[in-house]
Amino acid sequence: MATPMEQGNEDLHDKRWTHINKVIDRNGPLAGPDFTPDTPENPQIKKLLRHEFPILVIGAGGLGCELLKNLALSGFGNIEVIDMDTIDISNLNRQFLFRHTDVGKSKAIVAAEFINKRIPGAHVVAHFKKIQDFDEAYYRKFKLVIAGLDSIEARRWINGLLVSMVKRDEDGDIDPSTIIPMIDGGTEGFKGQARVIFPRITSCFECSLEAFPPQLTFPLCTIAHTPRLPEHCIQWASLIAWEDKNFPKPFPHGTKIDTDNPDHMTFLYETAKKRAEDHSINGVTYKLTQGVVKNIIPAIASTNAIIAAACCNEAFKICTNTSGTLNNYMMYNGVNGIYTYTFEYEQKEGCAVCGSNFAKLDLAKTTKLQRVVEILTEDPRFQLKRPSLRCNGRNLYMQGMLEANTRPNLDKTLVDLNINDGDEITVTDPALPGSLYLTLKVIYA
Amino acid sequence: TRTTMTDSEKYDRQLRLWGEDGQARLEKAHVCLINGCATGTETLKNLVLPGIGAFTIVDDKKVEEADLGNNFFLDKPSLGQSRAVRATELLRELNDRVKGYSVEEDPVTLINTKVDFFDSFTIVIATQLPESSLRKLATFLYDKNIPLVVPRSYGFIGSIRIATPEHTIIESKPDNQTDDLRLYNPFSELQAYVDSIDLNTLDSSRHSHVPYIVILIKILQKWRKEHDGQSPKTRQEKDAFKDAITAAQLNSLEENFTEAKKAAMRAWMPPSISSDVQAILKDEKAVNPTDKSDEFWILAAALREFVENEGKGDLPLSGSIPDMHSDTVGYVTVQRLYHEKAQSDIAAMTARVDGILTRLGQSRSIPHDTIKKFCKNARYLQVVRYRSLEEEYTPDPSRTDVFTNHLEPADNNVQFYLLLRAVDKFYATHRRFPGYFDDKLEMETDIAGLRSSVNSLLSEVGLPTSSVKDEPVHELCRFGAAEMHNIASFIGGVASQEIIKLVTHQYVPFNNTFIFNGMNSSTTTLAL
Repeated sequence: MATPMEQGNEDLHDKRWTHINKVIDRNGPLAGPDFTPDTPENPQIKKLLRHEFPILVIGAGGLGCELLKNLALSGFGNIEVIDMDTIDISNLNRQFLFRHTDVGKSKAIVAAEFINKRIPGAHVVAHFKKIQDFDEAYYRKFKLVIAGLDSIEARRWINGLLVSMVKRDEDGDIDPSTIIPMIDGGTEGFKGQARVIFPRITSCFECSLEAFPPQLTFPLCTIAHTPRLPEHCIQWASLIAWEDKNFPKPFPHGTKIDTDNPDHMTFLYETAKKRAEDHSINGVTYKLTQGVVKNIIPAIASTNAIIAAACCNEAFKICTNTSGTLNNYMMYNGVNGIYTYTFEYEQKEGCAVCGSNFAKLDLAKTTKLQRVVEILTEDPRFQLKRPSLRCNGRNLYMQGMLEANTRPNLDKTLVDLNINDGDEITVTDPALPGSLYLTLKVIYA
Repeated sequence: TRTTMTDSEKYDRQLRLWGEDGQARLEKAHVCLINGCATGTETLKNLVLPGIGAFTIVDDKKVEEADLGNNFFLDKPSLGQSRAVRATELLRELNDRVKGYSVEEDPVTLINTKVDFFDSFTIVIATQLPESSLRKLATFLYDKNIPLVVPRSYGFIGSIRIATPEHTIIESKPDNQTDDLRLYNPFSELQAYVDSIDLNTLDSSRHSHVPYIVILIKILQKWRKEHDGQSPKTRQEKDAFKDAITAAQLNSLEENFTEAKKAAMRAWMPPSISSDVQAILKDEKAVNPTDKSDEFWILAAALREFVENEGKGDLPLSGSIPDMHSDTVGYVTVQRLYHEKAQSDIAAMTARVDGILTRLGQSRSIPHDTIKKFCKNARYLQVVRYRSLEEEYTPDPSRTDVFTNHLEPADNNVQFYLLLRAVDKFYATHRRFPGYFDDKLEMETDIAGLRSSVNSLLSEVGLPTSSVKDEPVHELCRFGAAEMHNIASFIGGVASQEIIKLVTHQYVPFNNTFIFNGMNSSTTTLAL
């Protein structure tokens, strides 16, 4: 009976890796810089790939299933996957590691089981958890993180964490051993993007935050007074009727909308339909109601396959150096023919995460602190969640325990709060994990 | 509805892209995959998952160790068994609605002795065929109007070729669609409604809720009265037109007037039919429909007649308007006007269609829904015509500049297309791929051999030998026909997507060659 070490070594020479071994065992003029191919006596790259390159996949959904398959078939032998979701029937048209009988189970666990059975040696370890359940010590053990997420918030969190984990030595130079690259993929219908992030070296996710503006809701006055589209009627149901304690509904007032609860969805649909009928508006259907309330994004297997493959191809090359890498962003649009645009996304100078984390705010002297908080939460540049603000050593507005005490400041003008032209407000926020913060320089008009 | 309850839940995310019509076409389709290699099974994966009707894999090979390292649809228990049978079984697990068949025959022999085996398929996906067999198959399918898709993975390079004589698209669904508002030439019902409103007598609330469509038509009307019937043309005139809107605005809070200014261009731009649609209207097939014409061309012929008669130079009205600042009643009234006019255009088109079919002595009819769809999407009709593989492979000195432009930048991807063609030439001579075996001496001679195949190809197409440098030649030998999973999966993703476009006749497939460079993650499309 072979020892695990012997088994491990046998595996290095397993004939199933014939295809990838061609580029691992042979040099070529277009291989990566300083590439040294493996020899039978020294299977360095194969050892690294199979045993010494722990790789983390975030998300076991549309992209995640493809990522796990691709990484396993790229020779990686140490894969972990985190996903907090359970399997839904609408996943089955593309999340191919799941079957009807798996509905309701953990995506991460079912996906890992499938891959481990189909591709021995992949050693996929599953975590039915949120990424925020793990700390720096956990993430530190990985050589690469690949994200197949469907949320901006989650991307910002892991991006912020990985960037903040890069340490500098005594001379102030970046310690390269603390850099954990992240490959980020995203898809929507026929469109998608794949990018490679080397924290503190290349642009990070936060640098491109403005390219992902917050979700569109219609102006409240349209929803409340002049509906014209079926979508307006649906948002009336979900934002106004639902919140109105005098509007009859079969749930206790204050219940949060659960978009997966068919009773909630039926109520919203029927309420929207009635409003539409009252205004002679056509087009409210159950399907549209779901689409608007759940913000459903169309998704198909092929786009996920394309983006995930591009991501894993990069992961393979980063690990093995068998060829050059994507530098650093590929956009993809398959609506008319196939269009891709590959370019180097540059670091944003004032990036809150990897840049100078500095921005200027041009304000009128009469601006109240409330307005500054609004800008921080609504402006596409920042998109913060619950910001805390300090200036000149004083708390202006703080979340948590000090919120009640500092709330009166919201109604004061910045001038009243002794903030002068050129002063800098320090902002912290849950969207900026760890010790990250943003500096806002106030410029009075 | 046609799909069952569970199907419409399962397929919800894709139905939002191609609708029930698209899904119905997918479910009627039967695709054939030649060779159950990784590129092939990755292509099929993305067709089985959304519910293609059926697939058949033609492959006589047995599953080997190397298959287990790049093909997700083969597993250890499959070793030694038929690759076609096992891949079909594991693919079918993805979707119990999809039928799968395996044919354990050598595709090359089948093409040589019984090529009409392939004439019952909707699409044929050919992988890993030698050039001579591919060309034979391509000629047969082109003649039968069955689209051929040729996906390929080779080291870090991937490519796809699509070939079919003609592919028509009613619902091309382009990204940047504009609204069909007809502000320049309002139809009579719209004009009558606009005339019935006197902006000066409205109270301030109603004034601030007049839809911008009405505002722009009124301002344009006034402008033409003051400018001898002319519309704004020069930069100054356009600016003055916008000023006229501002002048009619009671205050800056009137959102509808702000919207009118933003949309002002829609008023002064005369209507036009895109060059793509004009080409369709002028096409021989639209000018002279025959009893063999398919639906698209009968509709195009009717459209041609419509444009020349009822349309007065315009296409049928699409009938939908965007949301705009307005009270509900005003908006719904205007919306209804557009809807009714679109309906009347559809009725006129229907009469034209019936007229043409009667003249051709046809008892068939075209479904009302199809005519409706055609009218609604008239501005974005597309016809894609592909050059055959025979045309591509027949050297044509007049087409050399198709290459030269693309070969300009040093990191171009067209060199890889040329290299893959050269690789096939090498294979035809040596019965193996360059650098296939792990022999250092053979590698040296293969690099020279491939260089010579490249030079011969370049000379055939009229290009200098410097068009392809030595480094990529060496690199292709390094690849040794390796089929790496990531590249196979990328190519499978793109190929499957184009197949879905071909089957559903929605969105626009590329024409005709796609190259993926997995070294720098870039792509190129060209028509060869």
